[in-house]
Amino acid sequence: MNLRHLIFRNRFRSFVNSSNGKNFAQWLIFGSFLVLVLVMIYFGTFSLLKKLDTLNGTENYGSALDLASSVISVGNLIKERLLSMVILSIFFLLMFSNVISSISHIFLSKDTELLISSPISPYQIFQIRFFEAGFSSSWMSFFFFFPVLLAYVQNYQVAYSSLFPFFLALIPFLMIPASLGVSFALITARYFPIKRSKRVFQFMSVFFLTIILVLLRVLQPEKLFQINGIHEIQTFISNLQIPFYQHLPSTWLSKIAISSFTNQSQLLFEPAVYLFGTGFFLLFLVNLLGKLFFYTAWCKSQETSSQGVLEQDSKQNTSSFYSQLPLHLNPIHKKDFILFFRNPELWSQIFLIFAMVGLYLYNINLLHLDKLSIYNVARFISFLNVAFVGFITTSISMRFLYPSISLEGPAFWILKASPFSMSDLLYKKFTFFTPFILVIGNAMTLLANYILDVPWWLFVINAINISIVCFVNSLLAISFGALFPNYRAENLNKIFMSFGGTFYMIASLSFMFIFLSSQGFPIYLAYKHYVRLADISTYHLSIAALSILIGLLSLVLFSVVPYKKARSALISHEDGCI
Amino acid sequence: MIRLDNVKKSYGDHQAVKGLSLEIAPNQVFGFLGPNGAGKTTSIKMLTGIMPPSSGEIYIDGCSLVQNPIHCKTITGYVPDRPYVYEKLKAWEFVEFILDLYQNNNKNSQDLAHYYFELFKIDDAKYKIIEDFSHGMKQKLVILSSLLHRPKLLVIDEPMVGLDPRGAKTLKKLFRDLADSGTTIFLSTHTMAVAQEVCDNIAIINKGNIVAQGTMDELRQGQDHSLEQLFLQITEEELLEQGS
Ligand SMILES: Nc1ncnc2c1ncn2[C@@H]1O[C@H](COP(=O)(O)OP(=O)(O)OP(=O)(O)O)[C@@H](O)[C@H]1O
Ligand SMILES: [Mg+2]
Repeated sequence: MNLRHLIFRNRFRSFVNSSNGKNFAQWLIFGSFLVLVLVMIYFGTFSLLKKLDTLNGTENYGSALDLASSVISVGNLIKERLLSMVILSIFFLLMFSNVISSISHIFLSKDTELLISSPISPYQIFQIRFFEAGFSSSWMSFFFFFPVLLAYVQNYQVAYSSLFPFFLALIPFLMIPASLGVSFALITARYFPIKRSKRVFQFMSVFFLTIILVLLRVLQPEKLFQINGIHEIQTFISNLQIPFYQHLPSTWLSKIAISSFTNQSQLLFEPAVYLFGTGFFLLFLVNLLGKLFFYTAWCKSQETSSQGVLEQDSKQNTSSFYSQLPLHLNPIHKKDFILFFRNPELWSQIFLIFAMVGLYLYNINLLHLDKLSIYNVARFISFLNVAFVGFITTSISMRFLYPSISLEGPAFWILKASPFSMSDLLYKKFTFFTPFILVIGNAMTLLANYILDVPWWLFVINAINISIVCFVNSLLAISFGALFPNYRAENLNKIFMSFGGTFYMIASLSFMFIFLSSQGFPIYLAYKHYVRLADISTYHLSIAALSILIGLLSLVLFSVVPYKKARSALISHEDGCI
Repeated sequence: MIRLDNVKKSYGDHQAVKGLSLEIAPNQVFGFLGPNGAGKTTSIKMLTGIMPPSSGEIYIDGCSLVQNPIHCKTITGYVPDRPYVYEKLKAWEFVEFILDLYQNNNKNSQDLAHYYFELFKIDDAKYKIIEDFSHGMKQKLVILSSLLHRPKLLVIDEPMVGLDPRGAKTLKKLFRDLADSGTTIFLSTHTMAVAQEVCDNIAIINKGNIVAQGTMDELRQGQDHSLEQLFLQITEEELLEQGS
């Protein structure tokens, strides 16, 4: 039997064995959530494309956009542009995830040491690792592309077989970021010990992601649908006709897709040559690099050195940061504080938060500039805004609070063996981050309300709501983190990109939906009564009361129940490593 | 000091510990012996309150572990078989954290910590990040931090694994001294020499059952066997019984 097959078989078996424990219901919820997301992507794309069809040569010259449509099929141009934008974003994301996964697969995999000592050549090991790294960071994109492309095929009304060129070309397309990521990791590791650079990478990866977020926003997809006057038509159309970034793999891939949807098979050839040429050239290059560098780079990566580039305490000094922290602080908080700031993987995420907050306020500001003149719309948006901000704080909690129990890792025995109750631990973890999340949530909400210029009473309602939402979301994050712990995760992403992470997401979104929508009607009634001075019927009043009751019930259901479950789960843990 | 009443533990449908009953008098070194997978670590995790038993009662110093875990844990020190700690803390920071956790951060205990650092010869690593420690150094750090709150009961899982000869010798002497000054020590091991040398009483566990118990002399039953021969014999008999 081929050695490579042997290793893959082992990987596969470990995967099967580790998923055996998860029960059917969990898979079912997880699966249906995934399907729901895919279906939503499909219908979202489909209806957007349908809307764009109305721009293809209609006769009502009501707006500049319609006028432009009379000259050329603007709708089709926008569709093409949209596809290439989507592919471009995926391309960026793939680059990012490939660098990270190649570092962890190639250099930090725990079984590499075992393999190196076995009679397999380092080059073969490298090939296996390369495949694993590429696969683990790319397979998700298949899932994502599928509904989008399906919607395009439906819209263009062509046979499903025209998807074939796209998915064939997807192979070299995925090879490009994978090869680049692995080469990058190899070269860096060849010249710097990876354990030292790991910290830099962890830092850079988050930084990278932040930049991508900002970049995507700066592309301003909404500009696709705006022209402000006749004089702009010319530039608008010519902008649409030139693909931006001619020489990017994403442009080639989108050209292939569009050419096969429009049955212009003669146009398939050129981008296909580019794509396959580049893909296989890079594949060859990365194999060459692997042959030359892998073994030396791996050896170098085994050198331990705590004198990391980002390490403040690199010098052998006799200071204890712990005793410098305020005495009255709780020991758990002190410990977590030190661990947080000594681990760039954790603190570098703060950049992400800043980026998200910044982008959000920028968006709100744009809304305002567009003069949403209708007064009530601004109010409605400010109310909806709570849900948006809640969503952002959910993803912040997901990255900070959710992993905090799992991050105790194999050292959890220390707390379990000490006279420290587990409910206290949950509480301590909860109080460590929640104040910051409350501050962020409130700051965003208040700033947005200020920009939207809402009346004072809505200000107050929104502030109370966002505080409750942040509070419950944090509690849910801690509870779900304790219910689905992963004490052996290699990195942070593995902790929250999991079953438990998905369940947390579902729970917190459901809570926000129920809690906020239960207030809609009562607030409307109150507004009618106190501002418009209208009479309220007892029938309406009782409906309002009922809906408030449902809201309160959801508050209890989503905070007390998971917290209690988490507490008993922590006490009866049977994970082997603690 | 310790009383186990018909303690059982199952992982799924696999029963790792099948009705363990033990009574251990104070101020002695108690050795818990058994082959790999016998259930030693599992029993120890239940004894230290890390994992609740599936059924049965555990009393530490006359106090039920289930009903009053905080008190039991306050008087117990635990050293696991694998010394996982917070890698990003410095050794001294870890010690301070442990002292705080046991609400015991005073000059006295800090002096004791300094003393143990010297005793185990890891004095120069006191302000190093634990990440850079060797396995044995971590082991020593964990052992010393389990002693800082002067526990009445010390539970150690495989204490000698990873220690150099000098460290092992120091530890054996420490066990003796601690037992003589009023600490009960419960240790698991497969090293017969260790058991023979330091343990006052011994229990042998196999497949989740206690198969022999007593002092060295009682176990020998007058024969002139070494403990090793005895161990092999007893666990062998079990195998035969199961086979038939
Ligand atoms: N987390 C776990 N999940 C399932 N089974 C476990 C778990 N931990 C231990 N076991 C099983 O329980 C039994 C006893 O294991 P235990 O670790 O207590 O043995 P041990 O006596 O400490 O062995 P060793 O001398 O190798 O340390 C073994 O059969 C093992 O397979
Ligand atoms: Mg064991």
